[in-house]
Amino acid sequence: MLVWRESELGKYQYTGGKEDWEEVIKIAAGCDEFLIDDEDELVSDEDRSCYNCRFRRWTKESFICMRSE
Amino acid sequence: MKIYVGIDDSHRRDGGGAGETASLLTKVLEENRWGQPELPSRHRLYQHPDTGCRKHNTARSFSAQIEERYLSVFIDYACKVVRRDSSPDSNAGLVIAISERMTNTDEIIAYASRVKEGLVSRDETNRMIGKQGLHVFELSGNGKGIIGALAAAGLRMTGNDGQFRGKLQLGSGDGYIATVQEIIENTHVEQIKNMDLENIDKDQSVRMGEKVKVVLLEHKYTLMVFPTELQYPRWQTSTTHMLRMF
Repeated sequence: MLVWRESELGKYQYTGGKEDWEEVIKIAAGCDEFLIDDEDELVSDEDRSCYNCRFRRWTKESFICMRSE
Repeated sequence: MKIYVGIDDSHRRDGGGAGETASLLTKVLEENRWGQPELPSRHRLYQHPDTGCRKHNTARSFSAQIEERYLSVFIDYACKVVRRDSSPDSNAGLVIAISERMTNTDEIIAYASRVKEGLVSRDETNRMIGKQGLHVFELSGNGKGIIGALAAAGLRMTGNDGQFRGKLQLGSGDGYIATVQEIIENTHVEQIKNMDLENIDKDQSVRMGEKVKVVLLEHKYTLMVFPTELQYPRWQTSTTHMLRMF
């Protein structure tokens, strides 16, 4: 399954949307650049989740990962 | 006089952010005895596809009672702090709404609802800027931060939007069981509701979770809970996941 799709902005948008809670926990577990966001921005009960990461930027359907790679 | 402060888009990727800026402003208000602030809150706004690469689409606000003679010094200070804490590529905006000087507070509330739904135009924003009782500041970037700042002030004014900054602490923390009455008497929480927005009686028991957040409903600090399906305790504080709608 394709997890990331390149966006028009040259960064990668997650294809699983905003409700793929378990999968983004697994992705964040293997990410060296995960950085937890400000407490006000957290949406997942599991701290280490792409949905809680400082490098995610929400879009209408999903989020874009802004990490450096 | 009562003021509503809205802040948007001073988020820095390397830390800090508008939430911390709002907390700092409430602290300064209190320490200098300029006024009595309420806790800052975070308000979710519309997720427009174009905003994706730039920012988290949230804005912060707080309300405060302030002595009129300190209003201008507070506004000057707030402008300096928001400008200082914004990153070079952000669009920081600040709004101070003085409800008693506004001819019709319904206008900013309606505007805020439209921003939350993603329906607002730049022309509407320009019309809001000129309204009596509103101090609006574009502090960096393209000025779009004032949209979120106006919305945050308006949403706070509704008394029915947003999640407060900070975590609620009571007793020994995670797993501690308290009655509704104990929570109300020993914290800033004013009411406790289930996720169907029904009030919970004072003799009911609640298990405190690890990360307990408080939301703004009916102009009150509100703790949300969900049923445990046990006889005791009957309720558990709602999780981050459950509260994502606020």
